[in-house]
Amino acid sequence: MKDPYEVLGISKGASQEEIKQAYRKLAKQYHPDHYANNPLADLAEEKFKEINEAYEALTGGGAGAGGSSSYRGSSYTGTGNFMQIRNMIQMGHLSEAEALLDGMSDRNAEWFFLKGSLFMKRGWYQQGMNFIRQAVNMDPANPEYRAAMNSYVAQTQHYRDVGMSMGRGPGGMSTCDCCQNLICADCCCECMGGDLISCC
Amino acid sequence: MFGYVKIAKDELRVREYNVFRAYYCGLCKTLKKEYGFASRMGLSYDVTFLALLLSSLCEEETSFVPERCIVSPVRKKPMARPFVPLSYTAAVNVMLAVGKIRDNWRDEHSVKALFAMPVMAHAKRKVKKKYPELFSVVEKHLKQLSRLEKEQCDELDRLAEEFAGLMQEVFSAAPGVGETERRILSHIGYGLGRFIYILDAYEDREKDKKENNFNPFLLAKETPVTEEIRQMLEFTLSEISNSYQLLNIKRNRPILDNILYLGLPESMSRVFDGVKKEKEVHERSL
Repeated sequence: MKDPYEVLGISKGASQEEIKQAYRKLAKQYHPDHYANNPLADLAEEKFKEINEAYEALTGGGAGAGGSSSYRGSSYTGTGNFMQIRNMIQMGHLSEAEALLDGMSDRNAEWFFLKGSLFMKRGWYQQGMNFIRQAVNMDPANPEYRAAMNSYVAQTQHYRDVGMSMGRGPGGMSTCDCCQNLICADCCCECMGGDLISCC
Repeated sequence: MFGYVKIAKDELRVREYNVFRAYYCGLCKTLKKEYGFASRMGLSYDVTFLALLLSSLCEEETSFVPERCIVSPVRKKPMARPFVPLSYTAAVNVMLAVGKIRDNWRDEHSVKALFAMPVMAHAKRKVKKKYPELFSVVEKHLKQLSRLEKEQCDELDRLAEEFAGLMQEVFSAAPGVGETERRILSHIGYGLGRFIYILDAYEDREKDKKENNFNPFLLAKETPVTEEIRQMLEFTLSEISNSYQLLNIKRNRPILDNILYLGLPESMSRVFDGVKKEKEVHERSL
């Protein structure tokens, strides 16, 4: 195993607080949610595991941040065809999945969602997001479609946050950002069955 | 290329800025040495980023030497001494410059491009001989792109795919990198190509409308929502940066961070918000 201090990028005599801080930052960076559409997800997962192991080795406790909050591992039960296409997209067999999707006549919300996921994986984010938005419009109650939308927003927000911490702009969160974040948080809560802002 | 991949100068330390300059100058020297005087036309910051990134992955330290150059003939300035990553990026610069000049002539019949063509011919022959495979792949993507443009393709993703594919090849064909690094570089290249193509098209849409040139934003059936385009480009940048975080960077991390997290968004807000607005904000904050 690699030196846990090296993995977390801290010096040997670091305090528990410093360890925690370094861990949090790295765990956020390599979180599987940020690599949902990235073909390098396997590399990120390795790194994420390494960081968790290093943290456990240094603190003796379990890791603070849990696994992915996105839809992976959700107990999805779909009809045979969609299930097969879903697996194909997971495995990266994009052209086969596309051929199957294009051959279908029943274009429901699930169809739009899968088409969108396929485009996102391919790197065609413009069409990908259009299809996913369409899926959300057709079936607003579906938590999976919403989660995909939210993770798109969250990944972009994380990128902005890192830039901000490096000193872009006059600093701080503007009033507008604050509202936007609250609404995002509310959406996330609602996906999980809870609620943050009761009126919306 | 287009100069969108640049540093956010205000946020760099002077020491880091000097290193960045030294890479730029070193690249310029390498171009002159390997491809002749004229090849230095169109040396862009985008290519400098590639040089910096590849040098940061290398075991070999970059060495800097003080030298004079045409821009600074009296005082010597530190320059990165030519080595493998610089020599490779110099070749990339020539390939892209040749492609761009020919494109300019074909689309806009600019006189500047016509004169530049024979001047670059020598450099082109040389680069074709040195990297025959990469050269033909780059040509293929550029040809495919101009075919799509001629067909008046209005699918933004499909158009961007060609330039993204080109950059993907350029990044992943870099010499002396391991298999994992090659995979990562490939995705970074893809994202950057996509970002550059779309931002360039967006920026030029007014000009293209006036001059009756091809522009996917003018062909779109529904007017694209600016906010959606912007968010999509930002998402592309987040994909690039997330991939970059997987690389084992051995040096120059602050400069690379600066380009990826600050410089690229700055280019974007220059296009979307306009230069004037940015200046105003800056003045207000002073």
